[in-house]
Amino acid sequence: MHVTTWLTSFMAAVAAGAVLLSACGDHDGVPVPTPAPTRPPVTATPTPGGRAPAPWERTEEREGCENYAVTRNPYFGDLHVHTTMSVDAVTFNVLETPADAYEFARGGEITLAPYDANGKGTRPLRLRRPLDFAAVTDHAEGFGVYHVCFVPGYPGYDSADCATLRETSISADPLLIQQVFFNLLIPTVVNPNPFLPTTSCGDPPADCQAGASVVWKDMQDVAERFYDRTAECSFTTFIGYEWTGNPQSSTVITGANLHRNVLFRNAVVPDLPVSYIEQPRPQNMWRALRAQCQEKGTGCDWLAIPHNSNISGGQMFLTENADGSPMTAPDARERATSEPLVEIYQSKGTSECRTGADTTDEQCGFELVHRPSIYQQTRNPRTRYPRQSYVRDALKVGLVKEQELGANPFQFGVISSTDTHNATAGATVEEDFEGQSGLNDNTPERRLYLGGRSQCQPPPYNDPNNVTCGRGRADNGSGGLAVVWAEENSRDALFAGLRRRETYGTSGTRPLLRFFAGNYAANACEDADLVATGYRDGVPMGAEIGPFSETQSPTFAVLALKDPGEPAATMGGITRPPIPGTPLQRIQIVKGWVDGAGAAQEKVFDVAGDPNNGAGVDLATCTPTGTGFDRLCTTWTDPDFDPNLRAFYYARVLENPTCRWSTMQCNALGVDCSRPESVPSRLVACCDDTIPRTHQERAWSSPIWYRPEGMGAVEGEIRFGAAAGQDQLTLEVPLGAGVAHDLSSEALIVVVRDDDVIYEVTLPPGTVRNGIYEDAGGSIGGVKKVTFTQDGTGPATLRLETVPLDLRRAERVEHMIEVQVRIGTYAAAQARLWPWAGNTLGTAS
Amino acid sequence: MRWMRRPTLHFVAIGIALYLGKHELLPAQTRPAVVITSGRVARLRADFERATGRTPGEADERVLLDGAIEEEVLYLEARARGLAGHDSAIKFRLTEKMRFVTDAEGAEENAIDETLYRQAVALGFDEHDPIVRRIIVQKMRLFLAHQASAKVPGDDDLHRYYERHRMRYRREPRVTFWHVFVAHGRQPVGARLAAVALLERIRAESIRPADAVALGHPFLMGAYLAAQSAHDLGKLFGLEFADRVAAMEPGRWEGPVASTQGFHLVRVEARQPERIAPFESVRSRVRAEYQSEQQAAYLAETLAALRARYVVRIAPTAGAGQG
Repeated sequence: MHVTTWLTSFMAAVAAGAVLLSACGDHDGVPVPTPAPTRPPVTATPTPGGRAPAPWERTEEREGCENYAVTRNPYFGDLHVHTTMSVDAVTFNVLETPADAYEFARGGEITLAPYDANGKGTRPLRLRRPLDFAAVTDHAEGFGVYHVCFVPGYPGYDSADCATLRETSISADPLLIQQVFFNLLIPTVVNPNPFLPTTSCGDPPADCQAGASVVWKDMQDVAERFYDRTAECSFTTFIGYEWTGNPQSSTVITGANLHRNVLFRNAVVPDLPVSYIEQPRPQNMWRALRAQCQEKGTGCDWLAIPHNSNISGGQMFLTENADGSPMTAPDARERATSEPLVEIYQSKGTSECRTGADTTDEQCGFELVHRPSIYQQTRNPRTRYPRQSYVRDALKVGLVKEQELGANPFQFGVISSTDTHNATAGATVEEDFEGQSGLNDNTPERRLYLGGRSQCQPPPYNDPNNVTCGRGRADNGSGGLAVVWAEENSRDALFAGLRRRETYGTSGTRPLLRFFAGNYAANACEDADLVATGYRDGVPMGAEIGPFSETQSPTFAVLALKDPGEPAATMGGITRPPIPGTPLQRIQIVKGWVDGAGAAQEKVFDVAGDPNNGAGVDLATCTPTGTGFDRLCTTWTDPDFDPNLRAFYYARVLENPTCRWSTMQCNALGVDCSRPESVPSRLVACCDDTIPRTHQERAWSSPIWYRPEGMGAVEGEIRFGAAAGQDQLTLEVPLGAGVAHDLSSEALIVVVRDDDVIYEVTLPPGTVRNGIYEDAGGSIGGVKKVTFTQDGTGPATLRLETVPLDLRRAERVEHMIEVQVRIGTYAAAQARLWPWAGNTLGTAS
Repeated sequence: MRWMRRPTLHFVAIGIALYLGKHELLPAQTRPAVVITSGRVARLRADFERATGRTPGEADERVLLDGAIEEEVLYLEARARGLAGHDSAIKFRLTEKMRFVTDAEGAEENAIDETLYRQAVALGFDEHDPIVRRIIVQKMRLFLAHQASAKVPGDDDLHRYYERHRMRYRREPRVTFWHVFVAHGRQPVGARLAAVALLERIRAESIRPADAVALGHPFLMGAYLAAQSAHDLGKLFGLEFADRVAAMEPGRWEGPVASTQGFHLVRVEARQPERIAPFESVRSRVRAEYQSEQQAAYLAETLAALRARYVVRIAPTAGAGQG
């Protein structure tokens, strides 16, 4: 048979196979971009199980959850997980698939590289406590290359690059791994004008684009397979990917880590991920995603989470746009909308803050990675670390930008995750630490490699000497966890929690942390119903707050429970003993603000617990000594509060000290640092001053932002009438000082909503005259009376009363109600729990 | 088998299968013998040592040898079925190789050249090239895998599978309860005694749950918890607490139960026993699991049947017996 005839008949057969498969319903993957997804039918079940609705819309067909709670449950997860589908992971000999990652997250056992003769891994590992949710976020830049190089049939399959990549994926040769990593993979993602490799992808790279769509479809299928849509709600997956840009520039010659993970709300996703190859600037990436997602009106929604700003060379939180143009208010809003969260901690270190980088906070020495940019090879004690690499600084700069622009580009909440490249989602237990990147760190010696050999060269990366160095790994931590407060364990509920930033990050342990700001009694910690009170009389972590009382600080209520500990577990047939949870040492509140001169400031307050509790660790055995707290709860007001100054507050919970993984593994190897001559050179990290022996595991809450012009304590009420159409809404909304609201030239928009809009009205400019509008007939949206009082730029009060209306969309049960006010570009919102009593749903019920 | 788990391969597999379906199979008696040379065995050992850092034991050697035989069987079977002759990836590979060897000029780069390809085959390059071998073996595996997955399971199959594996679709037991919390003080004994005294009082005075909880300390997550699984309770109280509460009778105050925080008096209000999810709510999961089981079983069976048709010869230096 002639080649072309064969090819034609083969391709026809492939196409027929694809049709057959799609008929089966499990797959409809063909190696070409798939058509635009259509929105799945939505079954609106606003009240899961007939209970109180949540402040989000259900966009999926699924059952509500058994343990739905209007005051929200804590869900632990990992939103940053790599598998063999990441081309860097595959060079590290990682062959675990996305399915393996989800199976592991649910509590299944995994066996990691190296693999035995059967292809079975040799290092067993299991989560002692399963996760509630996870997202596999492989590097999208390599999806196509991966497919072309590992599925025979593409012309590029036999390219030298693909052959080398395959060879590396089954080789245990560290030299080869380093060579491929730096010669084949890195050049694409550090090039400011990236393109796909023509050797494997073709020119134009149509093969890799087609391959990427197949991989992307697989990711979706696997996520669907592991997502529990039943009322059991045992596990949630998110479809996601990593955008992996590390552009080289004159300021950061080794490449600035600008990585982001993109997560999708539900199964409706774009045809292809938008990677660094297509959009090398974050702003353009957001726009491309928006065009292919929200703007299609198919129910698609996404958010992006930057990570490792600590190795961005100060480039992650630039105050101008990526193209160098000045940031405008719409730019700032676009960033805040696109990226409501940031990863504060993961295996490649903390990004919160760094001792020596413009802070005096003594807790900024936790899990630092000693290189300022991602691919820098050397550890140089004289390196200066730019403060712009850290989340705390960005939060402060965000306040300054808001002062200037009226919009805050860096108003993000926080999570932690692992960034494992072993598919080991959530494997953060120090005692069980097996590394995160295949054969790069499969042994204690490799994990304890300090890095920084003198012969390391800056780029270009094709210097063969580089193969003998590589980055140090002893700095790497065991990674952290993302915690979301949500009504239930479903995609919509968790995504809404992420979007409203009601999240915290931990350094890998599982303490519980709640943080509220509002009007609370000084003895609120004696209130057995404190959580409900928290939502009734204030707002949770991640929210904004305006002046709740005329001149005084809002009251912050912060509560923490210690991690109950890790149960015993069997791994590889051997039972490992339980690990008790570590007692809490203290809670701190970190405040950042803009002072009267427009300069950003920070201050750390110890608010609960005891920093001098004397707790410690016996380094030889890693046994903790001293006592701490099972739980901590306190209310706190800011002693330096000034209602005119913009500020944020976040809580940081510190556990008592425990051994770092490195100390445990050095002890197991019998390293004795008191006899330096006995320590082999491959284990020098065990006794190196830059590798801490102990650390204090911790949790960081998302901030609560105080906006001087923000919304004070809303008083609202929906009084249900005896008959339909006889319901009435009244609102009293205090707005803070600083903005002169001009209702003669700007429209006033008021929205009241839960899972759907209960009431919405737009009063056109000039409707409210001299601070009042009255119409007994309710001709504009049923408004009977609006008054708006303000003196200059002083505090304002908006009062609204409706004529009798149909407000039945508000369920007659205590639930979360959000009030939004917009006047021109001014916007403020407040979601609180409105109790139900008699025939009234209202703040004062 | 790891590669089997890549669904990306399946569409290729079906294509290959449909294509192969048109071809006659060679009669079995023409099949050559499987020969594992001593050189091959040495290479297997070296690869193993490099990957694991240890010398293969007897059991390891048997597994290595089994793998090598299986690969050889797949390779020979694929060749016997004419699978190798029409592969564009193979042709491309051999063209490139021939171009390199002969330093051929004029031929179009990055394209299959039939003349060069035929020269390569004539020189036997196709039989010794490791990448060509791997493509052929992989194609044969895909072909076999397809035969199992092509069969669309009927509802009866799925129902039977579901019945056979009911425990996989187990729903956790859940419990709804009130609890009165007594926090650890400086003396843990004191908290337990206080909890016992409080329990007696609540029972004696028949205090309503909503009032009883006010007699204890506030608990972070509230005093009334609905539909909690052991996993949910583990986050708040620790797993021992979950075990204790799971054993309690509804409608009466029990305790004290220790948690990581202190002691709790518990009154279970409702209990949902462990149950099996209805078939319809897990149908798609059942189907996925059924198909993957079918595939694995079919593959193992077919490989065994194939192997039985071949005579296997192991080089005398091999440590393990015949496979």
